[in-house]
Amino acid sequence: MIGHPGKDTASSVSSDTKERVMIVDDDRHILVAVKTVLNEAGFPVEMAESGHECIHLLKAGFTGVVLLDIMMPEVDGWDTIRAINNEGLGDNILIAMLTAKNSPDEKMIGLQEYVFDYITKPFEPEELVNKVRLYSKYLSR
Amino acid sequence: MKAGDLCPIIVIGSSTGGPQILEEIFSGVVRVPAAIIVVQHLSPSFVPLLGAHIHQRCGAPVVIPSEGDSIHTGTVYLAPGGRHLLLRNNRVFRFSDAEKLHGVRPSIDITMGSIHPGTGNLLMGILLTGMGEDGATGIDHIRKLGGVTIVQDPVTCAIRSMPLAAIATGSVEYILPPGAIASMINKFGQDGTQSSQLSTETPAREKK
Repeated sequence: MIGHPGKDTASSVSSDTKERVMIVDDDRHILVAVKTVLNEAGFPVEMAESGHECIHLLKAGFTGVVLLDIMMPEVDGWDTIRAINNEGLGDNILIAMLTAKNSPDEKMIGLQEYVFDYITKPFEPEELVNKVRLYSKYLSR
Repeated sequence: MKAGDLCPIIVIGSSTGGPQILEEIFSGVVRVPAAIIVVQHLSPSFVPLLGAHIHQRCGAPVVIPSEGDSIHTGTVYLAPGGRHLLLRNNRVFRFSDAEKLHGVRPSIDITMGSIHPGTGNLLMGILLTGMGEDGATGIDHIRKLGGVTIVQDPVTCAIRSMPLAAIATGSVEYILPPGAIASMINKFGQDGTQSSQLSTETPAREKK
């Protein structure tokens, strides 16, 4: 049982944790914009310009929220998730996809359990901050 | 078990973008009038925290069931991830390690499809945001058993294909935003009715 009436579970559900965030996007403008917005909200942010860089940062020990663009050259977001799983690097991260596409990619089938959320660009800064705050609650340890 | 003791059953299926919607729904749930079984496509490591958040939102006990556990009214059950979750005799949980269905395990269709006719349980099936078609067959199954069927309004979904696939079956009665879904849960079974007698919300068949 996770909880029952009368039991205080507040200690297991932190609302103000500032998890680290990695933004993965081949568009430098997006990287800087997201980093600026999240830094201002108090989140430490690392930037990766490709799926390869994302994997490199995970191997270097990154844990936290990964905001992962779908449409990237060479290794797209879905292939990046497959690489994360193949390398066993998915244990301490939460992945949310970023996409400018109007309709989701069928390549997501089979990867649903690894994709916590799906954010369509463009997005409002406040909306992004609120989402990352929620994601952080799922990484509280 | 006497007929009058039958536990009402609500199955909620959810995928990408679902945890925050589940939190929103359970924020509005003031009574848990059934055994609520939540099947969320999610890495197993996140499931306990999702359960903690649901408990924090609605105050009801939240349980990650084990093989052989019985369902009880007033409790929220959360599929543990990695295994299909089924009901035996509409009363007892069992698990299956069968192949993924629609690319996922647990599959919403398998949980909803494990409910069988003849026991008289009040039923409700709810399908939320997500990619693909999981849950559509399950919603159709629950409707054919006389249960109430609801999907999240696709406009409010991070990904709308799961609700759209369910709507395409013709078996969805209500298309509702998260807050209205909470209201439907609160009203479930209160007057002994089910299906379209349950709510004054606009039925899907009237929404164009």
